[in-house]
Amino acid sequence: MLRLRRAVGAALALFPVLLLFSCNNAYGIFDDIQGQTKQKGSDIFKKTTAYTVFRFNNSYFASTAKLYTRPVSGSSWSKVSVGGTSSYFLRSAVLCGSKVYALTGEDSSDVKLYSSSDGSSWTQMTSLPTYPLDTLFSANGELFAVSHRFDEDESTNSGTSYFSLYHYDTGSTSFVPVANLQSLTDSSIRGVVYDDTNSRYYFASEGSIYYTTDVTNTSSISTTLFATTSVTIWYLSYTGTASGTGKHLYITDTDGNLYRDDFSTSDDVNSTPLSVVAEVPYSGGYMLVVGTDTDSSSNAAEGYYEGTFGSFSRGNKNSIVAHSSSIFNSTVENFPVHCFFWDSATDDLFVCISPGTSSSTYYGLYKSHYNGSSWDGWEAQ
Amino acid sequence: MKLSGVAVLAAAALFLLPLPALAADKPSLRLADAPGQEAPSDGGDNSAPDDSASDSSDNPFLPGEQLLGVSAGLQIPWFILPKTGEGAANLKLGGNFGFQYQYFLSPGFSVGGDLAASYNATIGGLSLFILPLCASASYWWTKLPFEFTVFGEAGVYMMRENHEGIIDPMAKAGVGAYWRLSSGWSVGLKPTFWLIPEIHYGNYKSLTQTGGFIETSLSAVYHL
Repeated sequence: MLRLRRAVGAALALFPVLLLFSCNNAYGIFDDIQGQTKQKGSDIFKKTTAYTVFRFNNSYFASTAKLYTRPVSGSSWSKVSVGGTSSYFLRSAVLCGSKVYALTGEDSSDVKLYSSSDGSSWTQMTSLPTYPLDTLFSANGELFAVSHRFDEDESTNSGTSYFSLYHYDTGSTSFVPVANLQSLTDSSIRGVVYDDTNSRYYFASEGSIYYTTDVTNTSSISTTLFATTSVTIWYLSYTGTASGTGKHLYITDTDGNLYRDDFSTSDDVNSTPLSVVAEVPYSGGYMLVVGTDTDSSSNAAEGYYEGTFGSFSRGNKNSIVAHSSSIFNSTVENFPVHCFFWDSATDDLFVCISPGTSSSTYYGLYKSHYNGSSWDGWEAQ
Repeated sequence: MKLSGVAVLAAAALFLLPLPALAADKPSLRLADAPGQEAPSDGGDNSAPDDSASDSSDNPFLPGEQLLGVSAGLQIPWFILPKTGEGAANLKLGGNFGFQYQYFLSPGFSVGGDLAASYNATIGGLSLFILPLCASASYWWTKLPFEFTVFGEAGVYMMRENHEGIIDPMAKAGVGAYWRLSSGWSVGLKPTFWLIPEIHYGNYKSLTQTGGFIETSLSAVYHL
């Protein structure tokens, strides 16, 4: 009986404490529940990370460990057979100029690069760099690839990774080293973008950003643009429109800072790593969306942020792109964002995330449609 | 038929109405009469009629007796009004768990408390938790070897969903039918209606909505 009284007493004592942390007059729980919609995405993306989305002709392509496609006007995704087989491991896929490139091979000894002019028939490319390619980048219609070499010290059972950036020379149909972006040991290449205002290619490693105006002239490439001794660069983006938020180079770091054009202008968006940046329409104007990545200490991400440079707020169920009926908190909220893809022809914004495996209702790819004045909310793909 | 607010209130009132008339003139259940029971011995002569025995002739639940109950079962979403979206259809079948305590003030009539918890998943993959803490009033009667009760409760609840929460008053009403297993234990079914008004104030009063749930639980009662 005494134990019972203690248990009841503890429960009663706990209740007021819970009460203190439980009230939000501005949030209607039943109202939220009534507004929810069941996400009915493809099993392809259920609990599966999506890395990139792009549009090629009249089809969308999305990558996980495979490449999938669907018609722009359709809704059913199908696996793309690359190199005559659908049994492959996709390392990277990009749209570059008038071709789609797919890098395959789970094992480093089996890496193959394919190109396709129609998204269905593929040609294997030869004359690859000596060391296996990790990933592909596309900028201004030029194809770039990062190779990875690992030198193991057998005496210490450790080793060093070396990363090198290559540019694909269509004239010689071979990969050409990008000047001194060879055998980098600080990190792999975090991004390659093209600034069409200044006609510059930018390349980022975790510790430095380089640029050049002529990617084909290997002897002149390799100017270190910024001193970044205290910054760990995480993503490089170039986005915006002249009539919108402006065309800018955006650099994110692991401390949640967003830099614009150079490191002298920054916005402390949050405290977790930031990922990709994209400009999207908003109420007759434009705004930015900034993805987050997984924080190594908390092992959590924060979905994305919305706003303008200098004024961002975390996306939530009532925010602009998510929309109140889109159950943001069960879609994108706490997951890392790997890509945004804005299709101005259809007014659709895609977001690629790592959805985790905790719920079968989570998907790696969502889309939100802008109807000219507001967003419809995230819809699983 | 579409549920209206009046219909819901009427249904709630039906549940809340005490039904002592149902209990009138029921055969009494002395503990000694229960299957396999022996009369509790206090060292005295139980066969001799006394005042308390005559008090219990109409109802075996005597003043001063206490009950402890534990229940668990299904939590059925019934309605959310006003219906601004898909209503309670956006909630999945859930579960509940509860502890009850009752103290008899007069033959058959008890007051006590009820601490419960319920869970329902939403179609959006979120979770709805409701934790009520209620004071209760119950009326018990017997018809060998069964025990019956009607009860009403009022209290407060804490509700959580989507990392947000709210606290408001609430009410419950229900009935129970038990089989007296032994001198100490009864087991049975306890369907209960939960009326959950989610009240918002000021600029957010448009968010005020009311939820209705049906708890259908298995219950075990221990007679202290």
